Amino acid sequence: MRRRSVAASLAMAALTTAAWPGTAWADVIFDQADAEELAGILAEAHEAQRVCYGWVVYVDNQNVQETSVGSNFGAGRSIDEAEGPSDCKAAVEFRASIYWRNESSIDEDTVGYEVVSNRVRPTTSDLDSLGLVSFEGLVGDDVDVDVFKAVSALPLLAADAGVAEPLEATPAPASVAAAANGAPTNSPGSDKLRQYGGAILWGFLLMFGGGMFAASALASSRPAATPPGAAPIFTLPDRVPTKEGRIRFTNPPAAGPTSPPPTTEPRRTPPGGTPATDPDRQTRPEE
Amino acid sequence: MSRRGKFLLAGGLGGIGLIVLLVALLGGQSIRGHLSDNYQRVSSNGDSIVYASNKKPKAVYESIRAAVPPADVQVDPQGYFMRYSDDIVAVTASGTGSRIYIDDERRGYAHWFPFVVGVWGTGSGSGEGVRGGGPGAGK
Repeated sequence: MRRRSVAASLAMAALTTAAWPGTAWADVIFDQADAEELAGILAEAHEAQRVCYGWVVYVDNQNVQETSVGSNFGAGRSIDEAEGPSDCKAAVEFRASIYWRNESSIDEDTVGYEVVSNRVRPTTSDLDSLGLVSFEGLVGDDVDVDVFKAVSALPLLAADAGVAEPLEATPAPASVAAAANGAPTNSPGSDKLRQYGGAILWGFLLMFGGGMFAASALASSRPAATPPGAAPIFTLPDRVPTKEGRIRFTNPPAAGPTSPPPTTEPRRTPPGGTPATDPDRQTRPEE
Repeated sequence: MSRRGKFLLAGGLGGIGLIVLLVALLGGQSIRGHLSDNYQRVSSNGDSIVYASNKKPKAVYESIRAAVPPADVQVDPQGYFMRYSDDIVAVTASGTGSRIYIDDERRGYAHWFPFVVGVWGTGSGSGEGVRGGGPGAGK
């Protein structure tokens, strides 16, 4: 979206410049109001500190090259426009090169930035330690936000490096915001979630994993063994007929003097008769 | 894996998860607690408190940001402004050291209105500046 809009704005700016020279605004990063606001912030710092600040951001947007330039001397004006050494007791500049590539291209977006000063400090690592600029921010749609913050921080870095006097902010009277109907919007969300969101998520995941293992263990468990003396749920009968009609003992009585007595009753021989061939058949006394 | 092993693993995972969750929910420090523990209190007025430090603003800002990450940061040549869920913290120079201001959201927005107008809230003339992009603004 940003790339298309940037390309479109460049084309529109070129057309507008041709038609009305001197009235067009063609900064590749900022719109005019934002560039002028940023230059104004740098101008205030320069007036108090006598240090010159500026930015140069080179953008290659799918082989369309454009550069955003500004300084405490104004939007579109380079820090090199200082009239003499008395203008700047030091100079600090934010420089960046951004290469936006077509999404179908095999080349990746690339970006590089640095803080350049004619003193030992501030350096790029000083800016990095503030956490204001990121690769994702500079190649994303809101590159202007990151560049604005980075350039606004230059006077703070200069003061920290001892190059310039620090500037002090004082709270405004509440009446200023009230007169402007000012009120905060867009709640920033929970500090706890922002700080420990990852840990909270991991805690829930671990507990969920534990629950899954417990459920798996319960599902795969077997019925408990029958305790001694309890009635069995199912037992085979002592004798099972085979296909051949013979009786097979599933629990044959153990031989030996210590073996328990057989569970089957002894055969009965009818008085005065021959033993019955079928041991299960009840014999009746003859009438 | 044996049934006993599964139960042991389930108990271990659940226990560790519970500990992590409790530490995350009950532990940690709020921004007000961090400032109270680490900086010298200068004055207070209700929820608005001013602290002092003999360190430079950049070092103080980095220390606070590392201890309690803010939702958004705005910078200006005069200071660092951090937005939290209920509070706004400003770090600015004071002599060779720093002053740290913490206010509730409404009072902080009013105090630092010239620096955060149009970014963290509304106000006449704020428009849709490039400095927008605070929390929830679709950065």
